[in-house]
Amino acid sequence: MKALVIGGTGPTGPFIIHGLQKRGFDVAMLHRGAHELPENPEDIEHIHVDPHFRETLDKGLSGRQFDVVIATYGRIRVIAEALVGVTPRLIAVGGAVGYRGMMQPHANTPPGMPIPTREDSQRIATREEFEFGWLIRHTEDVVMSGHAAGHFNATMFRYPMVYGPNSIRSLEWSIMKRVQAKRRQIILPEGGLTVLSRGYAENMAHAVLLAVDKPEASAGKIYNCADEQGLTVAQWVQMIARSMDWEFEICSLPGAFAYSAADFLLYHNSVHHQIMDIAAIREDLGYRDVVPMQKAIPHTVQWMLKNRPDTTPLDTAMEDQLLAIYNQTKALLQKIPFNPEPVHHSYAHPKKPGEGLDHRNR
Amino acid sequence: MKALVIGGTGPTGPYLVNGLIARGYEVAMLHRGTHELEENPPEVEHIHVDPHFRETIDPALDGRKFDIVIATYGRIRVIAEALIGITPRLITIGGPPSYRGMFNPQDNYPPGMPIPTPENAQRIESSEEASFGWLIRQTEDTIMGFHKAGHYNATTFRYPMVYGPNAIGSLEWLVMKRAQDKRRQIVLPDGGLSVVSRGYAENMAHAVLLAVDKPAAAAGKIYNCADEQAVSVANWVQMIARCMNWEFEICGIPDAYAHTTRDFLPLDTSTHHQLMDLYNIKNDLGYRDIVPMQEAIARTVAWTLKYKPDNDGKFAKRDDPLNYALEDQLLAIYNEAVAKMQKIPFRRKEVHHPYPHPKIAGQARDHRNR
Repeated sequence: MKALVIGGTGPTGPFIIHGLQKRGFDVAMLHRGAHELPENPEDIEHIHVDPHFRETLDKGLSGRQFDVVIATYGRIRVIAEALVGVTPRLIAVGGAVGYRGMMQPHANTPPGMPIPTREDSQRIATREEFEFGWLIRHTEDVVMSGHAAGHFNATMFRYPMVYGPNSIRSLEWSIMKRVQAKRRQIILPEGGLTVLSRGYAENMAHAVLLAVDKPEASAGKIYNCADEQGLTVAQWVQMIARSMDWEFEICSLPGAFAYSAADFLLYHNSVHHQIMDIAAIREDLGYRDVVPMQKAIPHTVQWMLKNRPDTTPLDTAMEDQLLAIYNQTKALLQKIPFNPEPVHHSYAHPKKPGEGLDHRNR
Repeated sequence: MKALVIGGTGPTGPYLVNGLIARGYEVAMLHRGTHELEENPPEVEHIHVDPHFRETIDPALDGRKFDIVIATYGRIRVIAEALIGITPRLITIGGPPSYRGMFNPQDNYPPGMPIPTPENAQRIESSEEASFGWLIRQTEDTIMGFHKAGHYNATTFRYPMVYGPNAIGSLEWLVMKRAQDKRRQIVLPDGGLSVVSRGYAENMAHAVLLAVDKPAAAAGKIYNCADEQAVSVANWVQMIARCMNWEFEICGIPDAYAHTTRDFLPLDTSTHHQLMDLYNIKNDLGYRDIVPMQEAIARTVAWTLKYKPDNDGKFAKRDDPLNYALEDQLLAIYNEAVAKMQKIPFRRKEVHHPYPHPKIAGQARDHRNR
């Protein structure tokens, strides 16, 4: 049995390749060859061509046949066309950007993404609405039309923010540097309450491999995938800090002004939630995390410290300016006297029989 | 076939009573009798006793038999004992306070409740940890103990914040009144980002009735239930406002100081999320909302306007639930801070996906130098 992985040097690549080998596949990798990972086995074939173009893909795949192809990188809609006749089974990786509201929350009513976001939620409808999202959606449509036409059995995964060893952009470093600088306070938009679905690389590779194991259940399906437990930005920050024996005071500023947090929120210029519904992948494929996020985050932090040291200086000028305003404001808020009455459940629950109203006059 | 509803005058009551009648049951209601709802049909038998005590329940149920009992109100662990020998099928209503973290988010790591919270999440372990939550948990254990002992087939639902006609303590009214009073700004704790599972009464009754229809699938189960789509507190406020043709400027204040609207969170908990996982009820019972949340909010606002327009006090947990004087103090501080922050120059960087995606074949780096 032969398998082809397109990509394979990102965070999920080595987990997918080893998983295929364990299942008895003879694995080849097709990628640009711009870099390699020591985690990948030495005995696999490398096809070094650019997976963005028919002209390069066709050259690399000429006369080849694979029992399964997992396409994680390149221009997937071009790959899907190039693979017609090359494989009976295609598993492709996309993302959540095709959902309406991810980048433009006000396109939905109520604003934001549906909580949680199911696979059948509204997608970007036109290129004019949002080009990147449209391309992702268009790619899904191309892959699924190849499935509908009988060219191959296709399954797609919408990867969330993937973290773990070998992730290209380590958002964790933004937080880790603040720990190294022994900063006590950290500004988070609206207290860091935004929930962002994230996926640990090994978990996301596991999700993809479940589709290898269950081609019928996953035939023609597009799946959300993410760690089972979603995390708020605040929880994510606290877990990274704790991995380095540190604790921050989280300072809540209105979303529009928490400028210093922009570098670790990636696309999230707004505070809306992005919580993927993973019921379908659980139901069809039996997905469960193989590594709980409580272990995955400290492992990622340790790996980054050891393997991807980042010594670029942390610019704290903006955060200091905002913290000064935050601290002044907090002092004013603390001066407002407020002694609330305790809140009780609104239903009457008498302690003794035969009384009209209960002890709380309900 | 005979059914007994204990309670029946709360928001889900009439939907349950009428749903049972539609299924061919002859329905009786057992409740204190302090108030009645016109939505409940006149042919229903009323047993007016207090469902909190064996001494009141036992004489009323003496010699009675029911094919099914739905217990929505009273002291459920006492009811569960009293019903042994009276029914082969018991469906009870509880709530999520039995989960660890609802009242004391710091008891979980990471702090807060799991997002989403599945039914097998950690529960309260002792009275010291959270006394109210411990009672709810003990009630669940009592019922499931009787189920295991074969006294009856039991199913329990953890109701979220239930809204809709006849809900006691309408939080919607606190928002509606602000819109009527043309308040432009509203303080919300941490910008109102908290996601809190809510359930429209008709939807929650539908969930319970699915367990009536599927006793084998629901046997011995405890289910979360809530509307399929959850909303943040901010979205909930804006949706209510929109029903009143109003729009608020939402002013995010740190949780600890957002005194005037912390009531919008269930039982005055903090801003951690309370999002229930609905996987089991959807899978086992085929649950789907019958009224979509947007429509449900619109209906709730319309009902509240019609029936309770001037009755502020009855809707509130506090003496002065609106407390505009305090909110104005908070807003003054907020506005001052915003004015200072607006003076800070900042240009957002354009963010692109970190992976290279060349547009022309044969180049080592792409057009963004990736």
